[in-house]
Amino acid sequence: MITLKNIHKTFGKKPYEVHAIRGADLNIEKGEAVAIFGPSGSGKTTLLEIIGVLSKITIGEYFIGNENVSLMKDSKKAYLRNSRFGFVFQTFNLIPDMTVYHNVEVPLQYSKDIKGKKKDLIKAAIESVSLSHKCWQVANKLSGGEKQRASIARAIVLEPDIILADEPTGNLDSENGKIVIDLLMDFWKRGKTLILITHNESLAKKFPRILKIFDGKITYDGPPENFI
Amino acid sequence: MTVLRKILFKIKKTGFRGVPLNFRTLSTVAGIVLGVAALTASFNFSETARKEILKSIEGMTNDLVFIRNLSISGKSSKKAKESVSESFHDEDSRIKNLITGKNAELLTESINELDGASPVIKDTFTIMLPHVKRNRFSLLGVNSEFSNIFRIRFFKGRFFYPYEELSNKRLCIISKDTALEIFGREKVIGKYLSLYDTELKIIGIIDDFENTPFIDKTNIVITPYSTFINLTGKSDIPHFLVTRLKKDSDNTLAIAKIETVLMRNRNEKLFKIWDQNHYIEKRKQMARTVEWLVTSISFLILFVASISCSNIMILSVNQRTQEIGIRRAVGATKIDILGMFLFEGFILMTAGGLLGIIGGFFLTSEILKPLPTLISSYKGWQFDFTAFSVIRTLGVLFLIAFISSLIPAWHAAKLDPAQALRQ
Ligand SMILES: Nc1ncnc2c1ncn2[C@@H]1O[C@H](COP(=O)(O)OP(=O)(O)O)[C@@H](O)[C@H]1O
Ligand SMILES: [Mg+2]
Repeated sequence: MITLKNIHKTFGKKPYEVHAIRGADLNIEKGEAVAIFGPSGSGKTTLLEIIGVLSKITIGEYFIGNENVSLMKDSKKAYLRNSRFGFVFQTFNLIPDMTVYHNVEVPLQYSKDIKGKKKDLIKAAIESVSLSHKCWQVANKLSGGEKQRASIARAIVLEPDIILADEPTGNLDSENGKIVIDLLMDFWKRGKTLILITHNESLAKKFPRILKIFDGKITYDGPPENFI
Repeated sequence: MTVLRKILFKIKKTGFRGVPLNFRTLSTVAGIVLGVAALTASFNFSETARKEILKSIEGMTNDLVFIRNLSISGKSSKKAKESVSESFHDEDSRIKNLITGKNAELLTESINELDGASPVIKDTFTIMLPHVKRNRFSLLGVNSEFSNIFRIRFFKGRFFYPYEELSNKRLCIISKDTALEIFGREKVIGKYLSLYDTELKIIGIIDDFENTPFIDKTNIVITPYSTFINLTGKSDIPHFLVTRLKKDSDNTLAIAKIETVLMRNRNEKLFKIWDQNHYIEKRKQMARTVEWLVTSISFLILFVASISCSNIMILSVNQRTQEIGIRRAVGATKIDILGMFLFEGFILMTAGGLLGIIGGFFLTSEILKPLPTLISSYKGWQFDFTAFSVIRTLGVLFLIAFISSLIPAWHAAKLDPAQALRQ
């Protein structure tokens, strides 16, 4: 479903450029759960941004299904992000002065094909992360765990195929971290695809497939059993 | 109802949640308000000025030719008359060279191209009546051809005939406003106006006549030239002679002929002959200048207002970079983001603009409207708050809003979503 061929990504202009991804080949099928593991600055977030069509590729080719992402117009990319991907970030990235309800509503504002009543969809998503009691709370008044649950509700409200989570537990205590991971795993167990970044090795090892990134290259791609 | 709901949905989709009510926003809006108020007022001013200037030359033809003594101009006529009588002998030759009322007849008799000529002599008088608001009137002494020269339209009655002038009849014709000032709504024809201890019988009321810069139409009383001289005791030195050229005659040629005729028994040219062409052109030029001036000032105001709007929009974009990233990540297109900030700019400008228009209304009524009573050159001007100036201001406003939000909004839209999220 997701195919990366010899991807390179550089930031900045010539003499000061940073080579964040240096030739990555990757294939992820529908229904997989993949943990991306690696030290800080190794290029994990950059790789996830490329997969989520948030960032342009410098060199290489990226296919979703049979479609070449580099050739897509902005509106098509926006449509993909809206309908196929759900994002969960380490820093939550909620719009701070909006309520949980309105934050979860944001993807629906840009969606062309909503099945069912908007209100019901939003309420159901909030319910599924057990946040109904905080529905009308403004986002910046929530605790860290609640913020991350709200952002998961936002990620799943349009029922995407793929969730991309960038260190979703990085800013949470272990208890809240567990709740968040359980929610994401539930999503995978419903047949969806989960790609999650972590530098918690024991968390990574819970995933059937681990990608190790080091210095912009994929240095390991396989099951946790062989992972050292 | 459903339309309204659709619009509300569209607005919601733009991500608009109101502009933050902080000092920066308020000061920006204040700037816009002042700018727009000034813009509205200056539009009002220019429009009125243009209208009034053009009105003043409206219907002015180039068929009138004026002849005036160089030593006697409007205001100094009394002085000139005095100097004439005091130093009679020194000025003997001078006096011979001056234009007199009788020269009008000479001109019509000698020159084919002329369709009548009349001397015009002026004086002002006051009438003390309890109910009279404006009590200053101007008295004009003219001959019977004046009516034809200026194409007088009568409201009631008639002009005087040549024989009435010759026999020094105590008659007068008054303008409509004079009639209203003095007699109110009463019947006026046949009544008497008391001037210089003499009773002048009113035989006509003037509705209007051709515009000329040399005769103020407000509050006038017209009497035969000979009667004027008799009443006031002034010498036969008119302020000017006025003649009308026949249709299709050449102004330059006619002026040359007039000069030749007048120079027959004179040895020095102490008069000036001119037509209204120059005046009309000058006025038109003035109207254009006013328009140009105000347009350039407006552009300046427009520029300042748009910078101020741009400024707040840039701040807004910078403050909301992360939100832009979030919205892009969940499916907003570049166009959505562009629309979001354009809409915000639009709201900002509309809020400021509407307040500004109210401010402009205030400026117009408090500052512009009293101008005519304060400064005589604006006499009779009407500074009204015209619909056109409002529409024009609104148009300019939306243009500013659009232009000034476009750059920051475009900047926001073209941000790489990943880049926006990392900030
Ligand atoms: N916008 C950017 N401009 C310049 N360098 C960047 C930018 N984004 C990321 N980088 C660099 O790319 C490298 C990879 O970053 P990232 O993908 O965030 O690493 P990780 O998520 O593994 O910590 C780092 O060296 C980082 O400094
Ligand atoms: Mg990272």
